[in-house]
Amino acid sequence: MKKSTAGYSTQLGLVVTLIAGSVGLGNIWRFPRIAAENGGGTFIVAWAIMMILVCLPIMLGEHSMGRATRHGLPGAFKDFIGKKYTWMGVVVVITMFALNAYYGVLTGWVFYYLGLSITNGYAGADKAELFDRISDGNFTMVVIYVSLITIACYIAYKGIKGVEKVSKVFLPILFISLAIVSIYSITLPGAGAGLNYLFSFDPSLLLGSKIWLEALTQAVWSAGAGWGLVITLAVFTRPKSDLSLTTSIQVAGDGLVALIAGMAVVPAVFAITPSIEAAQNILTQDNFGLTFISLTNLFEQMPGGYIIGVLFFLSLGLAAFSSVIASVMIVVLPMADSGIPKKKAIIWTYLILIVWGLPSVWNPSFLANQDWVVGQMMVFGAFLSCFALYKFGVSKVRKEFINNPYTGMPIGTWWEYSIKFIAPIIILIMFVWWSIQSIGWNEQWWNPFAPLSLGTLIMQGGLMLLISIIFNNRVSDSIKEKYYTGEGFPAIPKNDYSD
Amino acid sequence: MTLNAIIMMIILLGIFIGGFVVMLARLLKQSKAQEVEQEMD
Repeated sequence: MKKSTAGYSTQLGLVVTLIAGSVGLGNIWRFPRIAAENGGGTFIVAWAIMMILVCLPIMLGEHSMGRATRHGLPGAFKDFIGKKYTWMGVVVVITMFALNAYYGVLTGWVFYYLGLSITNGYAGADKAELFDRISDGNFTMVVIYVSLITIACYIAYKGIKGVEKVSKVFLPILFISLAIVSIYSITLPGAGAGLNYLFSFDPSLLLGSKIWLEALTQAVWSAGAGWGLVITLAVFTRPKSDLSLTTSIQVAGDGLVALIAGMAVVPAVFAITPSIEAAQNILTQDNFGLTFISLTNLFEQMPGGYIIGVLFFLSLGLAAFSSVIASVMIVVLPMADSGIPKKKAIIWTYLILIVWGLPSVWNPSFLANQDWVVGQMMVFGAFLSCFALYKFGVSKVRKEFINNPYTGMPIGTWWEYSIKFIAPIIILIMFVWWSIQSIGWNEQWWNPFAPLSLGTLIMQGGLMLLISIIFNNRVSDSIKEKYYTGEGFPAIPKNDYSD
Repeated sequence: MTLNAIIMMIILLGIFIGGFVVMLARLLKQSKAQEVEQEMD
């Protein structure tokens, strides 16, 4: 009998692809800043708890959904909890199209800065002005964005084996580059103050609600829960691979990259800036200000800054681009389920991403708007995953799928409580908290055309929901195959992306 | 660095690096066993 070659080549290949997909900009440019702003070590403890209590359970459940149904998002929701819930998968797919479109632009900025680091292009320049020039109507950025999307679509065209191969190259380079930057950073004179700031622990801070909400936000946006990544990548896992162990390694690997990034950025900021106040000011800027303006300034001033700058932007670029590649898989796989030929599916995905992404390349306000809307819709996606697992039956998921005969790390009943109560309630609170926060950002919070308003979230999120619900039956009927028979994991189906 | 920060750093890095390495080693061991099993099949 011919040996099946569908899916990942090894379990390690699966883990590497999962980590590469989930590690992104959030780990490297958001985590150090948010950790430093919210109490350092105390925040890291709260974030680790949220990773284990909320993200890991959702991702274990999503892994089960993908592996049991062997379908992309809409098909996974359909076969798991019924035809009338197909829209839940569709809304996450639309969200992921939107995410790819602006995230590809952010990735493009990073690669632009990688080029500038290599050519010493930002030396002596006014960093704020340089960033404005790059982020606002820059033609070179159009070329970079189109190139990145072209490469990402080409890799997705090669199927899961292509994604696995690229991840196996990207992830070690990312880890090593970031580790070098981190070791260099903590050995700089004065870096101790930064480490102090990053790791100081004050238990009284844990009594506040903000630290927990920020920790949850960081965990959800960075680890990969709720945006279809795990469901999609789990479609290609072999029935005998260890579900709980691979997902736990993914969460630990994602967290580890964030910690290393924190140790790369915060000590360097403290070592190079003249006072603690100045360092704190830098760390309380937004992601773009910290990465593209302050850090480039620091790289210019520090000894060995040339090579550190190159390695930093290389690791940031690889982290971001590997997430873009995985996200393209999230949106093309449902098309395969609906019988759309591979070439056609990739071309459609490519065209949609180019059209949707160009406004973000040209206008930073549009990008900020998409970032806000997509961020909230991803939180909603995590809620939908909890709902699907609850509807299917958490006990059945845990006993049959997670604790299957091939697992070496059985999960206890705590998982069921997390999916039924803890995760959905906390996620709902997070969604409401950010929505309320947005009222304070903008006087015209009701205006659907203001970039960071509650109005725009309601309008765009509502539109995504409406489209998904309208097309529920059409999408559902187009998914002809059903692999899940009610027992165990089916074999990996042979399709355009599995070989 | 204060003692508080040093202890916290060791604990957090220990959990994440230790957890990651131990689980990865376990996965590699499992993969090897599965390979042998597949070859025997």
